[in-house]
Amino acid sequence: MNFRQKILALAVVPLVLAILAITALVTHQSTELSRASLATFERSLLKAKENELLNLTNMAISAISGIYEAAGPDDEAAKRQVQEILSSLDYGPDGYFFAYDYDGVNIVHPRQPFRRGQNWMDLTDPDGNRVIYYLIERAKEGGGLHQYKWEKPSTGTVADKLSFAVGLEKWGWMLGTGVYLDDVYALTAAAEADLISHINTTFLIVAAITIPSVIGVFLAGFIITMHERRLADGRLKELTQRVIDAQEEERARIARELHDGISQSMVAARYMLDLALAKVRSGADDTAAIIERGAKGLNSAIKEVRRISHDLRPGLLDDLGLSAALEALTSNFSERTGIVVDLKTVAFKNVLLPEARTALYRVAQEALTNIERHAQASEVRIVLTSSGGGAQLLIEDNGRGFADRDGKGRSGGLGLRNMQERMEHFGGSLDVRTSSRGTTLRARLPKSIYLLPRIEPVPA
Amino acid sequence: MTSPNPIRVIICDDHPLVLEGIRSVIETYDHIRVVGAVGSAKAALALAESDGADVVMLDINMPELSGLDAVELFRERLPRTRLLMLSMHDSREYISTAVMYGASGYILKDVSTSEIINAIETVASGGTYFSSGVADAILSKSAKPAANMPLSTREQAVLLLLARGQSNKDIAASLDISVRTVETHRKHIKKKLGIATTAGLTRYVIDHGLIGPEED
Repeated sequence: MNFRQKILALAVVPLVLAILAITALVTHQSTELSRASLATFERSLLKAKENELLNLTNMAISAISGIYEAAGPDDEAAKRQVQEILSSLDYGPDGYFFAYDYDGVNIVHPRQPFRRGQNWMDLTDPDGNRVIYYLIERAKEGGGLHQYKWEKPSTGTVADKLSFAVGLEKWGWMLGTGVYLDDVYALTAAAEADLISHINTTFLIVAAITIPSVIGVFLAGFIITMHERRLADGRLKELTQRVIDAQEEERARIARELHDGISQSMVAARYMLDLALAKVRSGADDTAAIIERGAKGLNSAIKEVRRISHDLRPGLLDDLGLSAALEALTSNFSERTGIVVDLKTVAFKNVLLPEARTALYRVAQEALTNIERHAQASEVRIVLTSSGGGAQLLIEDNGRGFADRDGKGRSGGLGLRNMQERMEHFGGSLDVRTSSRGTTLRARLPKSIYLLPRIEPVPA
Repeated sequence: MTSPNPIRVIICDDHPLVLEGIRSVIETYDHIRVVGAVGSAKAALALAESDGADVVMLDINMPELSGLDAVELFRERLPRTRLLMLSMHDSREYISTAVMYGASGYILKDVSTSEIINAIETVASGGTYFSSGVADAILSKSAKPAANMPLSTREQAVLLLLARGQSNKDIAASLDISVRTVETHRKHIKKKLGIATTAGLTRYVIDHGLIGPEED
């Protein structure tokens, strides 16, 4: 993973995470909310059923109360009358009343007459619920609800049923009626399905918004990255090409100087030596002059080497320090161009890192080259100062500047850029001010480039 | 064959070929004796201290201790030994620095054999000698502003130690030189910088960022 990809990932990953978190939260909350409302819905439906059961029971009680109040505990005729009334009380296909005595023997059951007269105390529903036993218990307690499974007359299938049972204490009877809950559950299930589909829709909408936007961010980032990389690649290529060009140019120049200057002098010297050798062998006496000419050729080669080597890198910079090197640079410059240079340097030497020293020297060199080529200046001032804050090199000329000649400034621009980069490399800066009255360059290097010389009896 | 009082010479150059070339040239003269031909300034210093020499010929560009810095050390330890610089450089800065440090002569390596011998003879007899190209370089711009005079390597070392609060005695011990030599250096520093007091010198070093106020 490269740097750009990391940046992109840093931008996209939190976005995706945030969206996922929001979606999860919204989904979770709406699920919770719908569960709660479903439960409320179910509870209210059940409550309505309970009220209905109470009303129905009260209705049955009031239907039989006339006979029951008047009858004694063992009034068989009254019991039969009540039995008939209860059997005939009917509301819808699944609405009926049933009665059992406290021993569990069925007394009334209009939908399942086969139960009459038999004891159902131990009857259990498919869940193992002792249906009749619990109904009788509720009745003995003074009336109560009990839920269980029972065959639904209208469909013939077993369904959930909620019944209300009351006791007719005098006779030891349990009277009850029940409603089937499958319709309640069906309603709840339908509502739940409805809600789930709502949640799913919400989820889909969130996804429909999120996924394209994430893809959008990705694509935009990707395109920008690619574009920038192409630009950077282009610039790098350009820079590399320039470096290679400069290097090749330099090599060509050195090769030319070696070949045209030194090589020719050496060849001439060798011819002279060959000639001298031949003369010595033949016993001629004018050899000395020829050897002298050969030595002269060698001398000019030596001078040439000295000049080339000095141009490539001034040894002064290493041996005597920046001040001396600037001294030599400016005096050569003045002799060559006739431009007066006022140079002020520091009394110290070799107190800067060698690379920093070279960098400052190159800045001065580049600046003088620019001045010679473009500035048409007559005076230059160079001041090298050292202080607690670092080193500073000021180069000032009274030339025509380069602000107004943008096209020309480009090539000078590379030189300036180069200087700037050299300074920035050491955490320093290069400040350029140019006007039609001259140019001021201020190269600053921080204190960190100071190299405090080790002091030893015999310096290494 | 040997003359009664030959000039004792040490040749010092880190290029063996040059060393051998000069040695073989010099050895053809009876009145000059090569005490040794060594490849480093430190070796030359040690040899001169043990065997003694009238003239030491020093190359400038040498690894470790440069020929110029060696001049100062020779001046401190063997003030009677005459020093003749032998260099490829004809820059005025090299020559004036060599003279400032105390060299008696400066010749370029490409001068003729007879000129080398001439230089050795002149220097040994107490004179100064500059080969033709060198003399031009010095004469062309001798009027140099005194205020811009750089400190020598030793003077700079003395100044930095002084700024650290060391006494003349401490400095003498640190640099393995006599107190008198320290005093001479000190006098030169004050003259070059135009500062009269030790406090002023310390201030100067601090102002130039070469020692932090927090440093001891």
